[in-house]
Amino acid sequence: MSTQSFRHTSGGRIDRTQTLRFTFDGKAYTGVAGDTLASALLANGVKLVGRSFKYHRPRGIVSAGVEEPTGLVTLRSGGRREPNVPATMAELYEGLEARSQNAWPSLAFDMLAVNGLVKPLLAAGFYYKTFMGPFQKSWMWYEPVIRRAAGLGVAASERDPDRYEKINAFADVLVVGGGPAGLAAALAAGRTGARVTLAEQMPSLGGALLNEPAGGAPDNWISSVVAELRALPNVIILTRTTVFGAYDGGTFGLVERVADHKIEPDAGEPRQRYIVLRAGQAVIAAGAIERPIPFGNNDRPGVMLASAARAYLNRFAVLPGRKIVLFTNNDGAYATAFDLKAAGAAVTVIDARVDGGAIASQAAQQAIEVIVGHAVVETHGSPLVQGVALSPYDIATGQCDNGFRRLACDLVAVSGGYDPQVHLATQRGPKAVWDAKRACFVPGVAPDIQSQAGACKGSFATADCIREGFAAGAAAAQKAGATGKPGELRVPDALTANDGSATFVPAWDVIPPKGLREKKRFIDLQNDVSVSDVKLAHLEGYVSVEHLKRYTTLGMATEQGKLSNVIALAQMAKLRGIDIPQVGTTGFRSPYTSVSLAAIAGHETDMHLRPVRRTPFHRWNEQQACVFIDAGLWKRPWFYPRSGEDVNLAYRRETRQVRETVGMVDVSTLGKIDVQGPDAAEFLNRVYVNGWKSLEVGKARYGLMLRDDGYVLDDGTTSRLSEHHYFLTTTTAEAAKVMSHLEWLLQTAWPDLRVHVTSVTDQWGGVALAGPNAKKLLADAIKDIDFSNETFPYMGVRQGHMGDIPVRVHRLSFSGELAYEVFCPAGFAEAMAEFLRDFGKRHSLILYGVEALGALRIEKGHIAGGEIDGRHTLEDLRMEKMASKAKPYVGSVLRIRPEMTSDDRPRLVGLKPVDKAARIKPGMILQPHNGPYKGHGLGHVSSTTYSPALGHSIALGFVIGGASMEGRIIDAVYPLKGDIVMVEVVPPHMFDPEGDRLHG
Amino acid sequence: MVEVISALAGHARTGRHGVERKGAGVIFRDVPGRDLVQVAWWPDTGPAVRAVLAKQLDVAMSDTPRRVSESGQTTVFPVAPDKLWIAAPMAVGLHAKLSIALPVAQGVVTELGHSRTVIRISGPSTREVLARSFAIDLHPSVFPPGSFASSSMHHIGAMLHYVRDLGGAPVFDVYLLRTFALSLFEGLCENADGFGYTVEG
Repeated sequence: MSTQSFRHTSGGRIDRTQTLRFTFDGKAYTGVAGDTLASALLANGVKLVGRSFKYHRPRGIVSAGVEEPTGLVTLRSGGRREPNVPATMAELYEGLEARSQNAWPSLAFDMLAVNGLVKPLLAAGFYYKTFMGPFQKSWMWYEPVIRRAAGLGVAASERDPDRYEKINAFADVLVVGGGPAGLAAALAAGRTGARVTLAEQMPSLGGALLNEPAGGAPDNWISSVVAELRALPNVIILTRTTVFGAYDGGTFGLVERVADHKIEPDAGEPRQRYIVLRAGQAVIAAGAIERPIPFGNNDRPGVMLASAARAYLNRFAVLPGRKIVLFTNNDGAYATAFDLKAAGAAVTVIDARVDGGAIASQAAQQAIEVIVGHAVVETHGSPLVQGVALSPYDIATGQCDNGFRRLACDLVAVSGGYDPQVHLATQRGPKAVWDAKRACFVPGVAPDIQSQAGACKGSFATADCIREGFAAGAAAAQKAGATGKPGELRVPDALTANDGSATFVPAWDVIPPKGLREKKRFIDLQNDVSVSDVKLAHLEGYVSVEHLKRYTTLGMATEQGKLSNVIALAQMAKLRGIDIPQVGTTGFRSPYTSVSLAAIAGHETDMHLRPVRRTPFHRWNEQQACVFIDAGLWKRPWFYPRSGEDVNLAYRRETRQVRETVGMVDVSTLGKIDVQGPDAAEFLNRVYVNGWKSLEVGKARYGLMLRDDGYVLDDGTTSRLSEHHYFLTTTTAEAAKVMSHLEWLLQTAWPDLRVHVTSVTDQWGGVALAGPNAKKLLADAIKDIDFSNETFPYMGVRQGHMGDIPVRVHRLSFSGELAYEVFCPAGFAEAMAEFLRDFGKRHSLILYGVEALGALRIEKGHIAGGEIDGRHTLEDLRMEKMASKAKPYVGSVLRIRPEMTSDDRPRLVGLKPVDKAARIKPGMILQPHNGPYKGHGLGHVSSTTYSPALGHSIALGFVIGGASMEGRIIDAVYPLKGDIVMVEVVPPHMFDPEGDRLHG
Repeated sequence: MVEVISALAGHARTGRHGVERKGAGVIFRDVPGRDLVQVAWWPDTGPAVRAVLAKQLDVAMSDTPRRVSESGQTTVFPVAPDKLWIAAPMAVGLHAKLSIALPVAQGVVTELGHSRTVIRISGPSTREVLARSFAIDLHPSVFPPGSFASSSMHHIGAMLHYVRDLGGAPVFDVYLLRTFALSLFEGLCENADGFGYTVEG
């Protein structure tokens, strides 16, 4: 087990008393509580942590935060495996397992590093050019090889055993970021009494102040503010929580990493929590990210952001190098040099500016060598940095000249300035604007409810951050309606140091001097995009920033432009001879920081992926050994198998017995709509194609309704229960659509009609009883209804009681048999089913499911979902005679367009196979017999079944010519399988065409 | 009289579930025996209908949006500008009573008692559990006792009613569509797992 040889014995914000064991690529190490994986690896002297995306170049830790481009690892194993986690964000815990990515057979010796030898072939867009030939489908062959060679980590294929949850939250003021600006904003808003949520993505509050040496004035300030915040009952503090997106109406997406810092979540605890937070106001205090400077081989392990080097020293007591070169273009980075020097490192500052000013003099006084007007041209060493070449440098042009010299080192700390985190502002629309003084993008017009404060607004001085944050928090609370006073917040003198931004001079590139071969100068270290790739894109005409991004893969994956965006824009601006703001910038989409898909899914998995809908008979059906089938969200009874039966045997038996005795099927899934009001008849008359004003009380009628465009929307029966009260049924599939359609018509087209429609699908359970014995059974079970044909004819409706159960009985038939639909209040459904089963024994009652229901209705040529699929007209369904000519109705104008009534449209027919043993399959295309087979042919098969009554397969379908084709032989073909079945076109009503059985 | 069978019957496992901790975070109870009717009226008959209802139900009708009116065990929910729901014990015979009292020229009555499953949720973690299902701000300053909201749970319409506080903990009723009730109840239980929960019989 390695020792932590780079760990200091004092300092940092860690707990040395808690040693934590972990493994990286199978090798055991130790760290301490408070470490990240990155700090623990660096403490152990591990600098090589990954291989690059394309060239498989060795890569190390670059940052100390979420912007980490190269130190991506795979954490944990089995179902808990999580790829592409920045080691800088992975908190260390006892037993942590981490593995490097994109390397084979090992991180130290990666075979695919050979890619680096063929760099010219792998430039930007290489796969668009190189792998398209020599044959038309060459790419299909290359793609899997390229995918295996390139990429990041591999997702787990096993099931994740942990829980994830989704929660709604609300706040008057959301404060994003727990640095000095965010803490001050939360305090100001909290003091007013507003409901405040403060979200910080790191485990500790303090932001950049945590990079300061521990135990000083910054810690005291953080402690006092946090203590006051924690004492406020109206303030919620969320650490380990990333605000990854800003959306409409003050909605923000947050992910709280509840248990990522544990080997596994505690009992009942989710691993991550997705929070949808709706805020009245939001103060964005997301800080800034340090910008690198591109120089040769700047991707070598041992090149690190200066702020990161300081963070490792002051947060984690890790000395990331012992002989350090600090390359900067600003004063701010000198703090890193001072702290590293004080910690015992040898430090040389390479200052790109002509004059380092007072800060350089201060460094010299601390025995730090400062070389001004120079740049680091390149690093050398393999695989780790062992030294740099430096050269006199013109910061205005980026050109080095007058030779170079080498300097040994084991760490290059680089600081090219700071980029405000503007993503949450730009996600709401306003583009970021260029601040020429600070050479960075800052938020433009404050979007909707947002305000910005601190470094994310371009204010890099701590005192400014605190003052801005406090003012923004107070203003946000006031806008949100809080009436309390925020008071004052004094900024301690010790926190008023200059941030150095005034002395900032941008450095966009380091072009090597003569005599030094040009090396790759990476802009996007994660995606292997270099200065030369931007040049190539420019040469090939990709001058817009959006095209540049996509052609080069700049800012893809977890990088999202955090470190690369502004440098790439500067390169393009230079190439085009324009200013950076003229090039523009891409907006930042959410999520800016990666979030796991598991968190977004939350608890909506497995049976909760979508809700399950059960009929009121469900439990009773379960007790009858029913096999269910999913129909939309419904669980519908599919069939009721007897011993040894599969679905085919069961439904054929059920179908036969319905026609012989009586069967009962659960039809509760039918849409049921209560229609009431003085104008209900008029309303129905306008909705349906047929007439409704003459329907008597106690009678039902079949109706078809159209969409505005004249296509058939749905069918069903509607019963008149009383003068102004109707009970309308829809198909199962279209219930919600019809309800919405009716409400829309009443609210927009006919607000003058005095009608209310209410969905009562859940109020009523229903069964259909079909078969020769149906009437006798019901007459036994319901004593207060006369079931004689004279008093209760076909399409009659009666209300009565089955024992104590109130029932509505509708004499309707979907099977062609003597049949009734019986509805009762849903809570009585099981009792009604028991009642009917008991009475049914003497009438040979059987239960049947939707498979048999389908067979029965296809035998009779009744239309259902396959035929009412939104593409057919009344003429297609051969139901145009139903349409009234005496009244207008929805769709009546557009349904008579010539194309809608053309004889060239396929019309409903029945189909029987010539070879009775052959099976007609759903979806078969109907073509002329023996061809030619062309395109969509003559039509298609819409519904199929085996007909027990006829003894062979039958189908419904649509054929051009419709009735005129009856008696003709055509081919039903299934091109995917090569199946061809000769079929005879017949009338749709294939069983009992006279309808004699309907009347018993 | 035949018994009304709940949508949860035979599926809801009574007893203590979820993480072990002192006291359940929430308690679920299926509320049986409640009737629910919808009364809807026409643009010019609202005041008349409300007057009839106030008399029939002996309820002072609230004009505050999203707030119920109550009298004894009768609760009135103004669910839409031209509709309200009334919940009461089944013994009241709401549908028959109101159908007689309200001529169709004034309004119409629809029976919905069997269409909803009412689940009562109480206990100290009630708001946390509900926040995992409902996008409603349940902070007492925004949603005080007597509030209700027509919302959705898992994209399915549901109504939430803050009944009262009991022993310092809130009591909510969730009105779920009967055919979705078991599925959504299972979802509520899963959301309560981390708090520990009891299902009362």
